[in-house]
Amino acid sequence: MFRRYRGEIVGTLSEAEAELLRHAAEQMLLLLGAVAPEEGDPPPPEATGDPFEELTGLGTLPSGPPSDPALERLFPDGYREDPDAAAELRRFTEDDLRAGKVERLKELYTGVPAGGGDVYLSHPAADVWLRALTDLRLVLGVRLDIEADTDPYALAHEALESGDEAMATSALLYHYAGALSQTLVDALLGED
Amino acid sequence: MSAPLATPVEETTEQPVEDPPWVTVVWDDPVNLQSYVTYVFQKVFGYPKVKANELMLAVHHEGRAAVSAGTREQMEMDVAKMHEHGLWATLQQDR
Repeated sequence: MFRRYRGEIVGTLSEAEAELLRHAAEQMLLLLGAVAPEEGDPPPPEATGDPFEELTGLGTLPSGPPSDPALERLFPDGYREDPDAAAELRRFTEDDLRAGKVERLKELYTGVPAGGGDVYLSHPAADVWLRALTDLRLVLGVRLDIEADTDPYALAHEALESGDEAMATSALLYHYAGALSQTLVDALLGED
Repeated sequence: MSAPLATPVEETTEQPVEDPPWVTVVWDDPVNLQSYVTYVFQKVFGYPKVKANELMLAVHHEGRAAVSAGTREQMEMDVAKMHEHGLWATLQQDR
């Protein structure tokens, strides 16, 4: 958990917490079609049979909302009742939006010390972490069907009881990322 | 027939018909922390903490709130900024 200290925002991550965060950032980057910075070169794009796309690496420009509801939450329509205007706005904004989210997740990934340890964040860096953690929580929120009154602990407990370890881990990660985010917001707003 | 008492009201008070302004609307969601939403409104729009907090509470209690107003292009930029911060936002004309 983080707090303000002499102009910086500092915290200590245990080995387990660091592992959890790095893994989560990696998974988020995969979801966004990117890879974590230390993982070597990105895999070659899959052949699509479209010579132009293979030549340039450019896919079809985004027009409709993503079919994955988690991605749809990260890249929502800008117009609620006008699909054409929403598609047009998406064409102009989605690439930059995606690139920004990827950049922040990479910064989170590289900022988490492998094996755990102390973390010193400038205010802009804390803002980057906070936004990356927010995107993570939004995706987990969709995957876990989080509602306003959901207790992530109870959700994790239920998942463990039914033998769904992956869901239990996701619920605990959601809870942990929320608690960590809360301390980052408090530190950024000066409420320590 | 008496002479008209006055020119028709429509003519004396006629204003150029302006399109209603556009607004950025932020919608409530079950994931974002309340203090984070306040933080984003302060950071992105430069609102004082009290106003940012009031807008956050309006989103939370009413399910949505208009957080900025301006031209369509400005609101498209504001919506993009909200999406950059993980807030669920749309733009519409304020009818």
